[in-house]
Amino acid sequence: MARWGMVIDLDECTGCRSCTAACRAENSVPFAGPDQAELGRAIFWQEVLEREIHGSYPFLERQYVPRLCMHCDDPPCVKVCPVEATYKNDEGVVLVDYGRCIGCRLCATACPYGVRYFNWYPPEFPDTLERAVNPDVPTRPVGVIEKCTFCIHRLEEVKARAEEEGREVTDAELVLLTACNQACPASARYFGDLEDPQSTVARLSRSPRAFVLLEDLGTEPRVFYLKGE
Amino acid sequence: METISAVFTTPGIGGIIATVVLTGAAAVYVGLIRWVLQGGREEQPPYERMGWPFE
Amino acid sequence: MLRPEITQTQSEDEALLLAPLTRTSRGFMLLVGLLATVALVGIFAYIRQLSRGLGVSGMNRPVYWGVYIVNFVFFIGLAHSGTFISAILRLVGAGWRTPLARAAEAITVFSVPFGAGSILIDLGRIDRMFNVFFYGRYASALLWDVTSVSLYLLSSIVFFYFALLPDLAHARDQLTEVPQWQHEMYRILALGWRDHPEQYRRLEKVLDGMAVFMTLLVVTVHTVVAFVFSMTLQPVWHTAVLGPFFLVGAVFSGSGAVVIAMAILRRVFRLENILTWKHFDYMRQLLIALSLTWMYFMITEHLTIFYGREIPEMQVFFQRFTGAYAPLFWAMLALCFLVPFPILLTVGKRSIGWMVVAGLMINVGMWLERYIVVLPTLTRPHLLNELAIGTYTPTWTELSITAASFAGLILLYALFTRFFPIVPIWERSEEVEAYLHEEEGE
Repeated sequence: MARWGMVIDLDECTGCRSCTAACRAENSVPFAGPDQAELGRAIFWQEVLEREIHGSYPFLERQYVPRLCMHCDDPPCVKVCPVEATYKNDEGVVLVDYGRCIGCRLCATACPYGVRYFNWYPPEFPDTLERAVNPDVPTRPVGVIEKCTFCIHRLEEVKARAEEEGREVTDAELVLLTACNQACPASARYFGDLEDPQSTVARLSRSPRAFVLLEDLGTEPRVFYLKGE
Repeated sequence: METISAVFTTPGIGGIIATVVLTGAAAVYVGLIRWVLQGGREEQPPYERMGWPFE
Repeated sequence: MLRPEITQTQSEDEALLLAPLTRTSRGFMLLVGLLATVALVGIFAYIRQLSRGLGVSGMNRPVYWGVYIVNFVFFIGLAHSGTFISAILRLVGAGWRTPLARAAEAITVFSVPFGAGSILIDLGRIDRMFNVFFYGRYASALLWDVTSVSLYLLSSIVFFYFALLPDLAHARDQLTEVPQWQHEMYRILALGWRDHPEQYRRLEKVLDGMAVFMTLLVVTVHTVVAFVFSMTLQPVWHTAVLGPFFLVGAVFSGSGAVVIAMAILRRVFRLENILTWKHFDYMRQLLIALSLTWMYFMITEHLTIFYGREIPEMQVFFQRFTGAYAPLFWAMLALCFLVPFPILLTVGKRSIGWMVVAGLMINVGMWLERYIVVLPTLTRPHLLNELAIGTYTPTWTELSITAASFAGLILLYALFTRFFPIVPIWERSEEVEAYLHEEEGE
């Protein structure tokens, strides 16, 4: 059984945010507008966190950390949902059942990574955005939670094609599968099967440069970061 | 151990338990009200008691 | 049908307690009109929220919860004092509580619905609320909440009703000049109560048994409400002290509310001989004990955080002490302890007016306390505290719904006092006392 995971190389990341933009386009994320964004209502399944600048002139550095859903192995969000509207599928992807969610937002307050977003208003796609909505990804109604799905629709497509052709999914098909990875101009991101010891993500996650965010909390995230030459 | 944790995590089982607890409590309370109201009435045979069902 | 003989003084008291049931004063109509208006504004605000979405509130990311959740915790907390006085004090045999018990328990019965209602108002999809029963799972603290609060609501209403029964029969029998519909109401609700000694003996047994159950329920309910916060990993929420802290805070705020209710009822219905100075003094001592306990928890919690210096926790700590929430935090400390405590120790000893002032301060302070528990952590949760982006300003929608909830509570309470005696008549009757001791004497 596959166990999907991601590796992001922070030493290659330039903070360009192409990943953020690509994700929003791919997943029909609704438009918030400047007023709502000001209030903190904008939805970013994938977001680039800017850490504080450190070092002293002229050796200054700012760390950019692309943050998406960690698809934790012990997810605090799944634990607290009263109706199992969020669940971890058997390949390790944490998903949301938009039809069952009652909008209590306990999962959003429980997630220590802040990856879960809520639809405060019915979704809007003004003008050209309407034509750009992805038919492969369902839009979400008002009053429910949404978040990164590891582009599961693309994953299912790749798996279906492989099955049709009577073969296994190759690592090469997976590394740039997700929209965020595909868009990254610095080739800083990798996706794949952590259960396959030869896959790119499995090898990189075992690197001495690898770490996870908030490891002490015991959530066991499946998104690994690389840092330190 | 697996079954015990399944009782907590499987959706629907919790809902059934909650419904059972609440309906059970309601039934107990109705029983208690009837018991209190019937104080001092043991000497009368049941078929002679008519009228308001709580008497 | 047996009826207890009433002595002269008893009949004077009784006349006083039954008097409000026979007439409607103008003041009462005015009060009802005012409260109903406030309630209607809130209902309109909610309907607007229902049609547009929760975006009309001030909530955002990362502040996913706001005033509605604060109200939920506050109203459930307010309810606990009623049960404390009618159930827990009953168990330890504190006889002085008897005249207060119904007035206190009425606070419980009328605030729990608004507590539960606040949660429903907060749901993104209230149309799916029954999913909690179709798909509910006990791994989630929310389902423990739903179960315990529903059980508490049901049990409080039943407990309240049991203690009201003999007086409903009394109203049925004694009040002959009231409108027909009112008399029918007493007759139906009295369930054919016959004033038989055996009925009283059974009633006492049931009340004693339910008092034990209600005590266990009170501890469970507010601890479970705390669990919704403390079972997450967020800084300052994730602490074992939250359960007991919430519980103490609940009985504290509720006791303050009981004092206010007592003072108003005493004045409006002229109950000076029934709700005596002695009762206020006992409540004063109770409030002193609760103030000290509450302050103890406040100090322990914050000292522990400060000494440990863990970064995420210190972010929340400074939000409270010096940051965006500092004005509300210090106002809370002043209103909950710094001002009312000296009042309780000094002028509260001689003046009901000062007791009411203390009670009011404590309730406002405790609402602020719930706000301080919920908001600062949400503005500085794990990971996002790095960005320091969390802010929250409640909108008129949230504030009017809050006002409507308080108005609704007071309205229901006022309506109750109009049609039912607010002090138990049967528990003061010497004949009934005799019935209950007959069994033991033989």
